[in-house]
Amino acid sequence: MSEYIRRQFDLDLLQLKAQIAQMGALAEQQVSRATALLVRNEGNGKEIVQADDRLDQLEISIDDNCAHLIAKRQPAATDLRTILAVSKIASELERAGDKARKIARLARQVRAAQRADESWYQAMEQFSQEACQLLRDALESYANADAEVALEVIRKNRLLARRAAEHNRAVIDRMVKDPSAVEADLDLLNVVRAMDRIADHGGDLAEHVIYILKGADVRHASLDEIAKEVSDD
Amino acid sequence: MNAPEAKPDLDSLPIKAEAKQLNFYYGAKQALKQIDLPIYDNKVTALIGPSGCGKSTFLRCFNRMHDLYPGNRYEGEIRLYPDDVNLLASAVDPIEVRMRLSMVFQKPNPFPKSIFENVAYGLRVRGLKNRTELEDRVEQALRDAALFGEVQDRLQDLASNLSGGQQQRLCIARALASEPELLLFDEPTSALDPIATGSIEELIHALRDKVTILIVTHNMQQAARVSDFTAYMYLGELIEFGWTDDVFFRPKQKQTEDYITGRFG
Ligand SMILES: Nc1ncnc2c1ncn2[C@@H]1O[C@H](COP(=O)(O)OP(=O)(O)OP(=O)(O)O)[C@@H](O)[C@H]1O
Ligand SMILES: [Mg+2]
Repeated sequence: MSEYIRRQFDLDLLQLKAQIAQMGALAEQQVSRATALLVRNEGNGKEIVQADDRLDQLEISIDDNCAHLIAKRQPAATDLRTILAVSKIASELERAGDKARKIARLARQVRAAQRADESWYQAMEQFSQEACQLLRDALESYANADAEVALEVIRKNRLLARRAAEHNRAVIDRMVKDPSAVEADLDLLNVVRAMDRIADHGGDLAEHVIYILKGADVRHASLDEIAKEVSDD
Repeated sequence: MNAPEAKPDLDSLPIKAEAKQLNFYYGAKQALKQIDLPIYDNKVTALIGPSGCGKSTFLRCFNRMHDLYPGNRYEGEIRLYPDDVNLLASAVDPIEVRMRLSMVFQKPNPFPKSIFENVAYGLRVRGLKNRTELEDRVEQALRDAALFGEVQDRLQDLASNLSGGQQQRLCIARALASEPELLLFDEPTSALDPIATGSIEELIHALRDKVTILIVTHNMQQAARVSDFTAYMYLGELIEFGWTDDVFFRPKQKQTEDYITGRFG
């Protein structure tokens, strides 16, 4: 490969990176907006749905660019892994966006049913912020090619998953004792589940980053195994 | 966790030949440095690396081509199995060695003779005289080189009338006729168009069931397509050796990575 071609290729890869950053910012914004609608009744659901279309389009465009790069450049090694992973990263962000849309859709029902108290809303605000932070850190680990940060994201996501289960326990207990509003209570569980899934997409994104940097597929690995891959050179 | 499919353990694979601590000197200039490289039996091993890194030099050690020039010097060994003979030992006759190995070069170089004679020649040199047997062996070699169908009606035509790709397959047939244990290719397709290249690559892939193959190529995609193992050389040294899948997907050495992704230089 000539130096000129290599430079062109690097520009292509930079462009993918910029598109991912754009998607990431948008996904994060969607989560914040959906949370504001849920917790403070701020904003409007239609806007959130419209912005989600934008995420879908970006994912398609990134996938298309990846396919063209593979056909045109026949990449190998880290180049190939990057392109394969970028396509998956785009899909994580698109799916995080879907969960935000789901929260936005549930927001009105949840508020109308009045089955949640102030502490639950506060917990959701907190959960949402942590999930957004996770997404942001995961994106940063990709942008800076930082496997340590990616590992940290995976670790935090696993802690967050435990917290989601705790949030749900109180609601489930109540459903058992007082089944009169099971449907409304299920909505609360679904909100928590969507928040948790957003954080999961951050965690999965970080796993794709490790794949790029280390060539190891850590999707079903334990934290210790992942840590070992990250410290391996 | 990493392997797309389980590859056999390297220790369990039979080795056809093996370079051990191989050094080579063109006079005072050292062109190969401490090369240790196994060539696995019935596999294709590709040698890649930037121009001048010593790929051809390495290949030519196997058939002792360097012996033709005074001042050239080998150190170390190239062992050929199963009999475990050191090809480089001074007691070993280079002619004997060349009987067991065949080389195919960059430019097709048929003799100025008929298609038939090009393949039969080596067999005659080896003392084969029986006409029927000769014809059978020539046909078989042409079939193995995926050329027979195209030339069966014109075996007495001059080889130089064939297309470049056909000439190269003829050279492969010639190399195969003597039933070599190891087939050496030095950039066998660099003078060919993509279609002729494709048919040679297909052939190399198919031939490994019959013979162990070592191929030098400048075309990295070609190495990725045809080989089971890849060795990356730089400045006379072996930098990395492994399954082609691994070398192209997850090279261990930064230098290999840089070369494969074109970040070299
Ligand atoms: N006959 C020779 N006398 C002296 N030096 C030589 C001779 N042949 C090759 N060399 C040198 O040995 C080194 C290795 O050359 P070699 O031809 O093996 O490289 P290569 O990897 O096959 O390169 P290429 O990809 O360009 O064919 C080079 O530095 C070359 O200049
Ligand atoms: Mg050469």
